[in-house]
Amino acid sequence: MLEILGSIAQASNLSPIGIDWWIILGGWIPGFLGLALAFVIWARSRRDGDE
Amino acid sequence: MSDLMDSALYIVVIAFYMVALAAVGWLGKKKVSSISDWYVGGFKIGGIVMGVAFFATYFSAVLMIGFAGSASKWGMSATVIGMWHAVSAVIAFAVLAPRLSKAFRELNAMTFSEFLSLRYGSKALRYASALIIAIFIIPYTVSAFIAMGSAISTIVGTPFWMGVLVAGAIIAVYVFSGGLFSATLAEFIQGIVMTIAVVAVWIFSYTLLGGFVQAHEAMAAIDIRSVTFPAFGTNTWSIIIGLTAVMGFGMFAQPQMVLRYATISSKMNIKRALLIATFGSLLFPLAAYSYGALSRPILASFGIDVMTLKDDLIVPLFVKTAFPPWLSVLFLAGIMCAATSTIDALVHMTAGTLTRDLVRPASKTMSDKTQLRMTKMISLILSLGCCIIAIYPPGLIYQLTAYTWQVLSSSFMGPLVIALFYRRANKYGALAGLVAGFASAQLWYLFLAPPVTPIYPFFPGVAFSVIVTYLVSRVSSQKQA
Repeated sequence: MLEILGSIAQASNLSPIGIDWWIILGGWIPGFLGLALAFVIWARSRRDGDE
Repeated sequence: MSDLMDSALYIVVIAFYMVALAAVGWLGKKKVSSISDWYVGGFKIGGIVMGVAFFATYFSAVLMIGFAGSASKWGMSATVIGMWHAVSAVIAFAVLAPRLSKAFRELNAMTFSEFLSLRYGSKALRYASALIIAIFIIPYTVSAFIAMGSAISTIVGTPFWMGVLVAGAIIAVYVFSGGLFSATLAEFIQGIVMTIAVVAVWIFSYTLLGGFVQAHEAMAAIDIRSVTFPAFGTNTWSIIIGLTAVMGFGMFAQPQMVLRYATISSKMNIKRALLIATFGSLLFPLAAYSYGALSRPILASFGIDVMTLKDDLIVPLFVKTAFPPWLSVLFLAGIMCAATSTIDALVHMTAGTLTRDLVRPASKTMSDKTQLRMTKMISLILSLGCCIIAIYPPGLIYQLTAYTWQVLSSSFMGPLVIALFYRRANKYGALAGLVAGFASAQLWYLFLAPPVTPIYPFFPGVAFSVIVTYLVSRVSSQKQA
């Protein structure tokens, strides 16, 4: 356990979930924003009765 | 005895799958009454079916086996490649699909090459694009066959060639019968099964390592680079950045993907497909790249160091070593669905292109009936041919796929995208863009590709394709005016 904590402490960029912030900011955030945008476009087209 | 039972169970799953897809082929055959039905589903395919079919075509066993196996060495940074697929799915459906489906319908185009030819009024463009598709789609098809063959042979214990031939037989059964109707209906079912399989393996992998954060800690304990983004300019950095662009944005100009998002029936269906395709394009690769990365600490607990293994063998070994039988069966079903859902799209598209864009123009008297019969025969021959090549694998799965995607997107990005957004785009620009994109990607691949430089051929290829198409169109249209 100490060994694990030691190696994690060496990497200052790690987020609380144990993955580099660059992975989250550079991949996960754009991916989830893309999904949110898809949901908004779909919901707006339903509201407008887009056929 | 237990091994015998397991093998019997796997064989039952494979047999059940073949019967189910034969039924899909039969259903599709009943719906095919014209050549347009076989090629483009009569432009009648709904949004939900197309949304699932989109990501089922996009992601194949190549990702579940090849890329996930490589991700065990790249670590969690590989998930960046996967997450950007969701962004590219949004752009494909929100920006490209509405214009493309309208243009396909107005021109009554049934293949990608026919679309380019009719849009630009150029036969040369038709032949050139059809030739590039016919030649370069084969390595991608072969790579999907290899993935399925290696999964079946390792999990079930049969020879590799047998796994490849099973894949070929499955494809031939339903693409032959019902064309795009059968292909998309099958892909709808396959997309659901393969997503369930991948997500189950993803959850199982985290559970095995004691939870979400604990799993990342276990990875960091073996190698801190498993959870960090690779340093600028390193080999892994260029792979992650290169594949994010190639597999994400290169998708726009892949002919088999264009046929998926250009043939939806209505605007509302495009929006439905957008939501489903984006959700699938986020979940599926995130799960696959994650379990690939997580396989390293799991296999290490069994005394296996993935760094000493060939990438393509890591996931099958992971399944064999760490999975309970129920999960192995589910994963095998997922692999079969993922492989066949991509291969069917490739075979359908290539057979259509070969017949309609290369053979038919040479024979002016060919009837629609003869053309349809010939397309079906070519789809059978193509499946068999790719099976034979796959039995003697020419390279790593992910390298074969990445190469094909780079060539196709470099050749077609300019002519396709400029056609949709620039009214004055003409045949001189399109032909010049196609040649410049293709040639620059090939030259870069030969002399400047990683590890010589950290830049993939995709970048110069697509840049040349788009810029040359635009500039030549602009200059030549001014001269004509």
